[in-house]
This record gives sequence, C-alpha cells and structure tokens, in this order.
Amino acid sequence: MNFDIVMEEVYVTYRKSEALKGISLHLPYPGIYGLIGRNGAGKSTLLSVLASFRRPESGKITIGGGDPYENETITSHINFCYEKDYSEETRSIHAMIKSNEKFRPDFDTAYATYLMERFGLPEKKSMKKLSKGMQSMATVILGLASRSAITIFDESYSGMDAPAREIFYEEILNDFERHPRTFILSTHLVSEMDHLFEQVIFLHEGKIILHDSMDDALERGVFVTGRKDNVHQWMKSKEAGSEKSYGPTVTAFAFHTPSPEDQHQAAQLGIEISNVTLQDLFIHMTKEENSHE
Amino acid sequence: MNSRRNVAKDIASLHFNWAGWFLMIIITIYAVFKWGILPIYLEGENFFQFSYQSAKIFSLVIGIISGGTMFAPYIRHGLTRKTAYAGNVIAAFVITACLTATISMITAVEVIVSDSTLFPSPWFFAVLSMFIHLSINFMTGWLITSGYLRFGGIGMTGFILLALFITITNDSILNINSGQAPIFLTDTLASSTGLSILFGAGMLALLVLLGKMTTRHMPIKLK
Repeated sequence: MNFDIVMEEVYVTYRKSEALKGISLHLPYPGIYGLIGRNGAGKSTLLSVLASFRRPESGKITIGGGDPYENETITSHINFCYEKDYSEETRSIHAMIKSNEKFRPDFDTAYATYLMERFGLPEKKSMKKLSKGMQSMATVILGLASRSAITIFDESYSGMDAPAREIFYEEILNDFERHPRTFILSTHLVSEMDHLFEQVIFLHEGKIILHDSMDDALERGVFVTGRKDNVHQWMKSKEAGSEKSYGPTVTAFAFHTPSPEDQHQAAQLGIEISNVTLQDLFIHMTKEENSHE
Repeated sequence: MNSRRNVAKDIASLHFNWAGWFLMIIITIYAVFKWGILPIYLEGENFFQFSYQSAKIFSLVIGIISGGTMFAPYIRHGLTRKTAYAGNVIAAFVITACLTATISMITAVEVIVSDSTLFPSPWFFAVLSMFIHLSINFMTGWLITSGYLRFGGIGMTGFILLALFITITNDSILNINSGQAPIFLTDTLASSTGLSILFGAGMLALLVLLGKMTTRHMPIKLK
C-alpha cells in the first residue's frame, strides 16, 4: 500500500490566531523526514492534522491518495508519538504493549520486548512511577514497535538521556532498513539528529520556509570568513545573513550556493568559504531579522 | 480486527472492575441497614429499590469519567471517532445491563430467602426501567465531559444544564422522586408503564445521537 503524504494549502486556526498558513507538502513513502521549527512554529499542529487528531479549517490532505480523516484503513497505519503526560497512568509498559497489540495492525511484540531490554526499561512498573526519561523510552518503544507505515515522533525522545537517544537513533536507522516506512521526526535537537534525515522541512510561524533533501538544504548557505572589506565585497548582490566580528576579521552567513566564479573571487580576496550545518541554516533562517519565507 | 468490539471490551473490563467495588459497598451498606446493625429500618424496601438511586449516581459518575478518558485514547490508537464512540456506547449498555441484571438477581435471591420482601411488579418493566434509567445517567455523564473536550467550558456548562433537565424530566416521568419509594414502580408502571418506558427509550436514543454529533469532529488534544 502506498502512503505518500500530500498536503495542499492547509490552514488551521485556533480562535483568532492562524497556526498553519497554507501548508503544501509532498512526502513520498517511505522516507525519514526531519520537521524543524522554533517553539510555537506550528509543528505539533501540523502533525496533529496529519494524524487526523484535528481537521484543518481549509485545504486538502491525502495519504496514499485517500482522505485520512475518519478513515480507519489509513489512520490505523499512522502512529503519532508525542511527549505524553503519564502522571495518572497506572498501567505498566507491559500492559500498554498488550493494549497496542489490539489496535495496531503491524505491532511487533517481540521487537517491543527487545527494545525494552535494550533500553533497560522495567516491564512491570507502573508508568506513573517511571522517571521522565523512562516514560519517554516507553513512548519511543511503542512507536517503533508499532511498525506503523507513518510513524511520527514529536519531541517524544527529548526527556531521554544522551546514551538512550543514541540507541533510539540507531534503532530508527536499523528498523527503517528492515521495514522501510515513513518516519517524521520533529525536533529541536537539530545537530544531534541531522544525520538521520533524508529530507528536511523548516516550519516557521505556520509556514514552510524550506523543504529540501539534506544535501540540497546544506548547499543553501555558506559561512564566509576574511577581512571585513573583502567579505563585504564578496557578499555584494548575495543574500546576507548575520555577521560576527573578531577584530578586523568577520564571519558572515550568506544564503547563497557559491558558483566556481564565486570560489575563484573568494580565493582572490583571500576569504575562506566554509559549509554550514543544518543547525546553522535553521538558526539563520528563523532569526527574527532574517526570517526567510 | 474488530475495532469496535475491542474498544467495548477494553472499556467494559474497567467498568466491571468499578461496578464490582460499587456492588460490594452497596451490598455491605444494605446488609448493615437491613439487619439492624445500625438503627435504620428499611420499611418494606428490597435491594432493588435500595440500590436504585445509588446505581443511578454510580452510572452518572462512571459516565463522566468515561467521557473524559475513554474516547481520545482510541483515536490516538488510530481508530476513527465513529468506532471509538460506538465502542463507548456498547460498553455503556453492557455495564448498565450487567448492573441491572446483578441487582435484579440479588433481589430475586432476597425475595426467595425472605418472606416479607416482594420483587417490584411488574418485574419486567421494573428491570427495563432501571436499565434505561442507568443508561440515561451514564450517557448524560458521558456528554458532560465530552462536551467540555469538544466545546470547552461553555460546552460543559451547556451539557450540565442539559443533564439537569434530562434527570429532572426523566425522574418525574418515571415518578422516581414521588417520596413513596416502595410504590414508585408499581404505581407509575401500572398506570402508564408503556409510555414511561417509551419516553425513557426515546430520551436515551436522543442522548446517543447527541453524543455522536458531539464527537463527530472532536479535536484530540496532545496530553
């Protein structure tokens, strides 16, 4: 079955504020997608709409060509995992696995058991008695083991410590290889997770400001370092980001993919061009003064 | 995978747990009162009549809890609102039917054992009346919390007012609060049994429909 995600001009409004402003997106199945945005950018709203947790005010969403809203043949294959409040959850992870088995058509109990061992999660302890990090592990285990065609993780791993997150990243890649499907990973931990993404989506103030493959996204900008005058000369007619001075030397961010001529000019001016990371690009694109739409 | 049945089974298993506790408590209180351990004399009242009001309150309470906690988790499991709601309604009917049946059976045993007690007559209508009454209370409670989740504070206030209206109307139609506890069933049901039951059934159908409309596009919160 095909689970290509297509969103066309999707708008979501909470009372008078627009959370999503005309989102159009195509996410081919399968793939690992990174959804990155600042707090309040609309990430969770976008994912809620995708998982049919709410209806958009206008616009169209299709998954595999069909409308997922109130369509169990599609929604049963979407698993939206987010940072849940387990403070009143008396069930153990074992009981929650049993519950998931009933409702998730592709749930793999053996894999869930393996993950519990790998994360070192106590099987019988009540969820509300687990630490925040362990609760996050439980969410992640249920998400991974669901083997849902579209598995969405919305910051559900942020409570986990660094070694546990590392296990999670490994499992995403390993399980994607064994069972290719669509993973959408919404995160603030950009530098830590960028190696996972095939494509990346930047969401800013309810709009998509970038949707590209990782390689192409990283070619969208460069850092230019050199003497201030030379850097400014090179930056002429190029879109400039922020700039930092270190005495007579400056490092400027340019939203520009340097051509061979640009490289040649930089060499002549004695300035150095270096690559940006996804985090650099994200920070510069979503800074208030240079928000790119 | 029969999702609707799975939802109903899932919810009913919790309801049975709560109902077990409720019955144990109510039987204990009844035994204490009935056999004079406390100086309260239940004049001619049997277990059916004694537990009627308590069962109504219990149904309302578990309805309120269920409306707030047993709908959204199934949508999060990838089911549709329609399926989750149907599962909730089935579970509501299962628990109220089982509660009614258990109370009726305990009363029947009491009638057999004790010469001084009579089962409310006509027994079929009495049992049916209890089932409808408990179901109405469950659904009313269910709507209060789901109304809050769907429409916020205003919705909850609206549904509380509706619940009050339904409870008062329903009780007066079935003459529950006549102050003549031992007679309420026989008197009312003898004069207009069919009409009362029909009214109650109609009200229940209306509540089920209202629940369906409330949950049709209910947004699911991330919590």
